[in-house]
Amino acid sequence: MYYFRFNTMISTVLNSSTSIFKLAEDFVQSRKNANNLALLVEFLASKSNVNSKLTNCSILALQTIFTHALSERSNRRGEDFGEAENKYHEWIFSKYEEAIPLLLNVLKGTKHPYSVREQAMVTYVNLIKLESLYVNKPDSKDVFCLPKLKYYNLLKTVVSSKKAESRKSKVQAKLLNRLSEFTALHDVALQTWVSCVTLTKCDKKVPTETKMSNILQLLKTTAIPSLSARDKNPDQLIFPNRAKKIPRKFFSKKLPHAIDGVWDNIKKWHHTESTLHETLLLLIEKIMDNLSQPKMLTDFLMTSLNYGGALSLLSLQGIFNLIQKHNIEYPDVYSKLYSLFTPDILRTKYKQRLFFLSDLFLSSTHIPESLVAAFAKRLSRLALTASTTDALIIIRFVGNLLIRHKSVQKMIHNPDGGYVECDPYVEDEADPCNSKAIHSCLWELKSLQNHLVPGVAIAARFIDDKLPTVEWDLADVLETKYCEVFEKEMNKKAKDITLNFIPPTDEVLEKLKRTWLVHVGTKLGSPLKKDNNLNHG
Amino acid sequence: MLFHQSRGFIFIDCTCSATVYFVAMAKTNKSKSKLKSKKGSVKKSLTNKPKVLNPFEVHVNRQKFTVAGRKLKNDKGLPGVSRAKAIKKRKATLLQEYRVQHKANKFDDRRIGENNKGMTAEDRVVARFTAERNRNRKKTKFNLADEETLTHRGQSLMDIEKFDNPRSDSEDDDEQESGRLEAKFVSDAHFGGFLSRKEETESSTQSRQNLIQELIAESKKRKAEKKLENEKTAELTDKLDADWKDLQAIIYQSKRQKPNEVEEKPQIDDYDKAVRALVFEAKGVPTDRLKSEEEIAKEEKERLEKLEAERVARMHGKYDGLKPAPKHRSADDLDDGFEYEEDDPMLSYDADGNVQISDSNLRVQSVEEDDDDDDDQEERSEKEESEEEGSEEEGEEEEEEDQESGDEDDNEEAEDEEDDADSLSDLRLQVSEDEEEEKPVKNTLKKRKNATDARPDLAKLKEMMEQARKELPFTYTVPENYMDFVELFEDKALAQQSVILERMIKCNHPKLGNNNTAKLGALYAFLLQWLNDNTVDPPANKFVSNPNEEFLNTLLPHMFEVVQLSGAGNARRCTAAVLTEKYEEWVKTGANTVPPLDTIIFFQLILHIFPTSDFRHPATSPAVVFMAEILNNAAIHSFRDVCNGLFICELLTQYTSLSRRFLPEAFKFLSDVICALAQNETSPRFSDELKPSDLKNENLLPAAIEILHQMAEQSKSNVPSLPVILKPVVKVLSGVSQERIKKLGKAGADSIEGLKNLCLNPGRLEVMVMEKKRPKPLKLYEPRIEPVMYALNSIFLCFVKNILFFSYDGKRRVDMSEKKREKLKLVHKFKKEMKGAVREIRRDQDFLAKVQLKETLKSDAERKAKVKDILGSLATQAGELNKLDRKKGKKK
Repeated sequence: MYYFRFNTMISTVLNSSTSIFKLAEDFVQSRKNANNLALLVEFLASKSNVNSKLTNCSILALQTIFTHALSERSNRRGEDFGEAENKYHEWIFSKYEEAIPLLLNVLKGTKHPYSVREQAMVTYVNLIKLESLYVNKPDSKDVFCLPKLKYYNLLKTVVSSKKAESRKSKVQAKLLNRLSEFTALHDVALQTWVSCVTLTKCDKKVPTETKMSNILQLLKTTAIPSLSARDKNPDQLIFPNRAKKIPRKFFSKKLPHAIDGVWDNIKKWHHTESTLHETLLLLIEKIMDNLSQPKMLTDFLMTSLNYGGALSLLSLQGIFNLIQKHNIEYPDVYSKLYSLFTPDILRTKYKQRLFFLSDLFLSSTHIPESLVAAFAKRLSRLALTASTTDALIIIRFVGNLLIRHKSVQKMIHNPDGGYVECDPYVEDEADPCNSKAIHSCLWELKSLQNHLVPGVAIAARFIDDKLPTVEWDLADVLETKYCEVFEKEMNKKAKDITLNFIPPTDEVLEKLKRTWLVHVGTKLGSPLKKDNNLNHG
Repeated sequence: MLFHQSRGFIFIDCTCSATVYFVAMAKTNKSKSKLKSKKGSVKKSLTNKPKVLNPFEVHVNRQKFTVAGRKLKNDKGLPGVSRAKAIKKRKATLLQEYRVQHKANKFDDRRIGENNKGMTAEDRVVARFTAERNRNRKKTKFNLADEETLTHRGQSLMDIEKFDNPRSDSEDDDEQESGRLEAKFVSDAHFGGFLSRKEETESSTQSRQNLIQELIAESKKRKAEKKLENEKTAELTDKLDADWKDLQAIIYQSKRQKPNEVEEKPQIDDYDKAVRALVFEAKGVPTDRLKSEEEIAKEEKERLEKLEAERVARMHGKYDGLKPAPKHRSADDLDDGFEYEEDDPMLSYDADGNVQISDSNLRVQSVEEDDDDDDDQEERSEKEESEEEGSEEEGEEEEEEDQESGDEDDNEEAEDEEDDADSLSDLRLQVSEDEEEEKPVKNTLKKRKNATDARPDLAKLKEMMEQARKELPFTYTVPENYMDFVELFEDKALAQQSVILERMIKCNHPKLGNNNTAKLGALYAFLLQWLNDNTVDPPANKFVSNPNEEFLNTLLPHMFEVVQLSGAGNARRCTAAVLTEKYEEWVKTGANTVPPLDTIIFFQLILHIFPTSDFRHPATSPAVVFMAEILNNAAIHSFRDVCNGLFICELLTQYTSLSRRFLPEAFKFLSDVICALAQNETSPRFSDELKPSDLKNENLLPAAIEILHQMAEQSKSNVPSLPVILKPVVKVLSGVSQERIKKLGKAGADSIEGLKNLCLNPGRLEVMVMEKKRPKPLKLYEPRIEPVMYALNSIFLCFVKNILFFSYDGKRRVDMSEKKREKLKLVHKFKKEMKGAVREIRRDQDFLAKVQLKETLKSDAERKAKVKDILGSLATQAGELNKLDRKKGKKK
């Protein structure tokens, strides 16, 4: 009977957004309309409800109602309410508990558009914030500002979604992005890290790739809070007045512990290439500096170093950090770096990082000259097939190597002179020190002096002169793009512009025509001539 | 004697033209000469004797240090003298002004010469007299008859000038008539010595006195006779004149009375005509001798050689548009192995011994040796070819000549109107034609060899052009805007377009003036747009011959012509604009596709119009970068993309055919394509949409291989690392089965062999040794020559925030621009003058004050004296009064 009445009411009353807001308003105005709350919760719970606009309105209405109701009670704290009043509040709270999972359902489900889901999430966060403020004050032991379980559930819901389709994952990314507004707050961030320990745990079932990448994304956007940051800007907190209640111990002990836990869990995942990629980025940028025992990372980094390509590059950066900050010794790092320089790596977006890192690695003055020579040689070889912009970087890089290591300069200036039958450099040798590059010369740079793009040719001319004492700044060329080179050439001022002095002869035209014919294959005439003295007579 | 004297005076008289003046002149002459001699002596004494300075007047400014060779203006001065001079000057000027300061009137002496001290009193009188005469003369300016009567000894010169008494020629012959003594008489009386016999006999009878009386009487009588005769003659002459006057009137009247009669002009002789014509004919200007054919050819060859040398210099990036100036070395340079810095000017002297500083040290380096070798090789190969196919060549050449002569005829027709003005352009055209004729062996042969199938097309085109020539009008103006251009060219066959363009260029040749250069510039822009609009892309997956090839080939020669005439600047601007537009368009599409043909065709255009061998060129370099980016980034979606990519590579081989440089992107693209095709694999370059079946064209692979081979061959001499670049491709190609290679055709197989050869037998490598640099010489090895600037006051230097440096003479100089230096100079001068002026004014004030003081003192003294005087007289008066009183008192 009761149920029936409700259902009919839902269908009759809640058919427009204004009516839904009316319900909320009525509730706020008078306790007579308390049943409106039950009506709204029921509406949200009903499976037949597919109208996202109405859902959105009902979520907003619930938020209004609960904000009013929860604050009302807390404002009159200390008073003796009496039986009926307590009962009323209990009822409201039970309704609240009922509504919270419904919001998560909305958030989880895929039937509503992004805006509704986002609203659900925002309302959820707001409600648990209200709950934390008004209902259950945190006791002295529990430092968490938000209700632990409810927050964990939220994170779990956001992170785990159905099989990622390209469009859906975009929505997921958007949600995560919205969530990051909250997690950017220091106290929320703290709680996030702690919650993530359980979130990342994978006991039995293997987390899906989407979930992994979502978690990584979440962690990436979550700052690692610190005491100084908390004190510095208290407005970056969700509860500014509770800031002092978070004990120092929490920062010094519990947070590192949580990060360790998160990392331990992540480490055990079955990574795919993309998640590994993101993990490495997360590791380098966030986790590494906050781990209690960073040296334990070495194994992980070593393994990922063997993947090749960008992954190797990132893990190399990790290793470099370890070497730099934690004094680990890793003998093979140079040969690993050496092996990274392949034509493919220039096509990745981590090119700049690579050059920057290698510059750092090779900045040591205590590395053998054969090693430096091998790098110089290999890079020069790369420049032979690289794009114009890469060639510019490489030329400067090699130049810097030569400036830094005087003994390697014999690669461009060998006073003995003479001829060699073939290049002594062994290209396929894995160990750079054994590649005999030091006995070779940089003929590649000599070749690049004849690069058709004048900028490159001029850059490669540095080997003809005495090298400067100060190194070139790599940053100038690292970001060069083709369009900049194009523009530069276009805007070059010329004193006088020259023209061809011999009119286009038929033979050139004929030749180009023939080439075209050969290309498209209608006719195949006599063999192309080998001499090229055709253009200018 | 007397007579001669008088003649001389007449002469002087005439020049003076005034009787009175003459008298005065005659009087003054003596005195003046005296004066002159006096003055001369004074001057002499002045100049000869050095001015003796009074040692008490000289003030010596003592120098702290004596500097040898320095000339000082102010080492000694004469303060007393100069002060006296200044005071004198002030008295003459300032004092005068002061005196008339508050006067309303002033006495202005305007008498001539009164203020001129150089004139003596005599001169003044003369000058005034002359002025007076001139003033009078002005009134009678047009009264020619009423001139001054010139006199000589009181006689009017007019009388003499009347020639009443002409004793012109016959003077000497009939002396007697002219009143002179007979010669005989003279010889007897004056020089006979009174000793002759005759005299002896007669003298006895006649006394000397008689003789003289006789003589006088005789001469008187003769004179009287003469006078009589003269009178008669005069009468007769007067009569004759009178008669003539009467007659004259009649004669003139008669002349005037017959105006109707046709004046009979004497017929002009042919001869006269010819003479006159010759006189007025313009003098033949010496012209250059007509050049023989060899000479023209030689000149043309030299021109081309010069251009080629410049091109080679540019190719090596060393040409700066300036003529290479030989670096000057000092005469006693020992060439002892020092490298002189280019910016160090050398001390050198020209023929006159003046110091000259060579400022430009640019040198164009001589053509590199290997380049020469290559050229030689090419020439050799061409020669061989020509020998081989010499027999075929002749017939073809004749045909060509025919065509050319036909062309020329047409040109002449078209240019009939502006033939004269256009002669230069004709010459130029001729040159270009010659150019083509000059290397007929090369051109025609190659064409022959390659273009067996293209010939019928060409003939057909020619035929059509002939037809078009007849149909179309002869003159065209360049359209105002692109719409008009399109209207003109639309729906026209290619041949017609070609003819229209040809005529348009001729009618608007820049030599004809009329802002034609700008018009042709606009025409070039229209042509670019036209090219853009009419370029079509072939269908993505079908095999067709380049649809634009004929179109471009027709337009290209004309575009080349237009560019040559309208200037490189315009061409570059237009081309750059098109290229930028295309680039932006391409970037907008994502910069990862192979652009359609309407972009690529502009690369081809640039290839033909601009020199692609230049090290850096404002038009070709951006195009190269564009192509590089295309080859680097483009993903291949279709068969057409591969074709277009290969076409770009082919264009790049043409771009680098002379400079022999290389572009890694092109190698990479070709090797990617070859590897993918040879192994039947997909490459990261190929997009997913591309099905392997799309690329199953048997000609694609050999074409790519050939282009790669050609590119590698070209850059072999300049790129020692070529084997490294080719290694991956060769590795793949070695894996290709023999059957497959056979399928590629002979050309493909040959190219593969060539590539293998290039990669596997690279030849020995030269160990890199930095070129030995000469040690730098010590500075100050030779004196540094700098333009000596205006020595500036140190005060100014404080304001100039420039680098100060010391020049060789130890003075501080400021390094600044010419303009600034000039300005500072002026400022300095101004201040100097200002100071001088202030000083002068101050002294003037002093002077005036002194004068005023003197005046005051003087007037005071006068007043005192007067007062004293008055008081004295009063005292006297009073005394006298007292005296009188006393007297009265006494009386009383």
